[in-house]
Amino acid sequence: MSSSAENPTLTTEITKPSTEIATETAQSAKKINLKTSDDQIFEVEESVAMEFATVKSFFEDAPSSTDTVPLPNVPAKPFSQVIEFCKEQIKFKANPDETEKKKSNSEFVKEKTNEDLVEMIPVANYLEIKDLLDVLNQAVADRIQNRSVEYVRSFFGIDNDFTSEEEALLREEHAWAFEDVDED
Amino acid sequence: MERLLQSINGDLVTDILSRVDGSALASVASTCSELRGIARDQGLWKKLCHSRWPSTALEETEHLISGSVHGCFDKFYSDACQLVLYDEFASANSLKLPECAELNPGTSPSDLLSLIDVYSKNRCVFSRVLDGIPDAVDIFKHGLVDSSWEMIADERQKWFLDYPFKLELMGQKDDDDDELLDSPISSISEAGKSRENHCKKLIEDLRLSWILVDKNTGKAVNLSSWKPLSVQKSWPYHATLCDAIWVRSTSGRKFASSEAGQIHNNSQIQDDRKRGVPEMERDQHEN
Repeated sequence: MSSSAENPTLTTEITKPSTEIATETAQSAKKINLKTSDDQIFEVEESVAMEFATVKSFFEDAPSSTDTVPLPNVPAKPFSQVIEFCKEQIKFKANPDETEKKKSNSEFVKEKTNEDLVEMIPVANYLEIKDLLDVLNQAVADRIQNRSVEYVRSFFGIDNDFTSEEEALLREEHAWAFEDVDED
Repeated sequence: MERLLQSINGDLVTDILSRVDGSALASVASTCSELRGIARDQGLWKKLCHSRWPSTALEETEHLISGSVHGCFDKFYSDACQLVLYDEFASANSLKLPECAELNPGTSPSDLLSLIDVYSKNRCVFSRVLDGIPDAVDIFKHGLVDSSWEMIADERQKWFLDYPFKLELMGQKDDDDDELLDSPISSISEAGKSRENHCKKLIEDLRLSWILVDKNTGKAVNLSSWKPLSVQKSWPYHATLCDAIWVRSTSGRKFASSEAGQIHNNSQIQDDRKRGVPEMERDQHEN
């Protein structure tokens, strides 16, 4: 899997017509330009862009718009992964197969780092991609299940702001929860 | 990844936390004050309680747990998910036993609520809330204890040597709860197995969760999750499950914990005196 984040223009990867999508409808040839918060332009097939409810409603409000759509809350790195997900999803729209879809979703999250997942969540939320948000939230939940407090802290990149007394009290209160956690 | 949480709003965190179990939720609550606030959401704990012990979703329980000044769902979950351990098991596994609260001799069985959930193959098939302790004797009313909480020896013997938790479940469908249990019973019967095998199978499949809640303080204790000691089937139309949970020393008998797959030996019930369930005697003789 090539990492789109390392490629600043991204157009070569994104515009490469996916045969499955291109043959579906004539519309899919149309491209839409989306500009991320770090000023990268993504040229995305319309069928993929319409998976983003936020973008879709942009065009519903201004049907004839040909401008580049700004996505002020969306950085390029997680966005390229979100596009990757949506391209896969579209295949299942034409040919719904729940088992295959689940398999594809779990493969998608499997190869993502913790950081990737957490970074994609606000993007999926902003773009209102419900399926992706569901997949991501479940993946994060699975990854913090049976883990130590320290692991959860580093997972979310949070600082411990409890005093040592408070922490000791919490540890005692929740002692029952820490008996069977996995090794970090 | 610095302060990733800041980019995820509270609703999203709540959605993630609604997908983890109670232990993970407690871990999250211990990470920082911001997550602690979110992880104390009673809705999350209520959902966990309801799915683990469907009896907590029954109206009278829910009212008691959420309405109590002392009790709320996170506290209840924490109380009820900890299995009752006994000294020997705890010391062998370096576990700390909860300290016994002060005795409150004024408590009688009628101050308690029994939350009963019966599971068959890990699926809850029956939930009931019972007032007090089923078939319990009010040891105060009957003068079985003296003022210093010592039970009169003979009476104690009588009380413990025969104190089964007996549950009769009808194979007939008289309401939705029982209907589910009907299927494992009848399917085995139809398979032509002998009655004895059938009962053995039920012993393997059935688990009981029995949580006592103090109506005054909201404190709960879990006496589960025990395999039935015996199952008897009555002929011809209904199955009677004699779910005999002997609340006394049964040396050599083991029961499985659904929580961690540990095996506990049923010997001593901690933390019960104040609720009017007298402490079990380690050296009680098998009769």
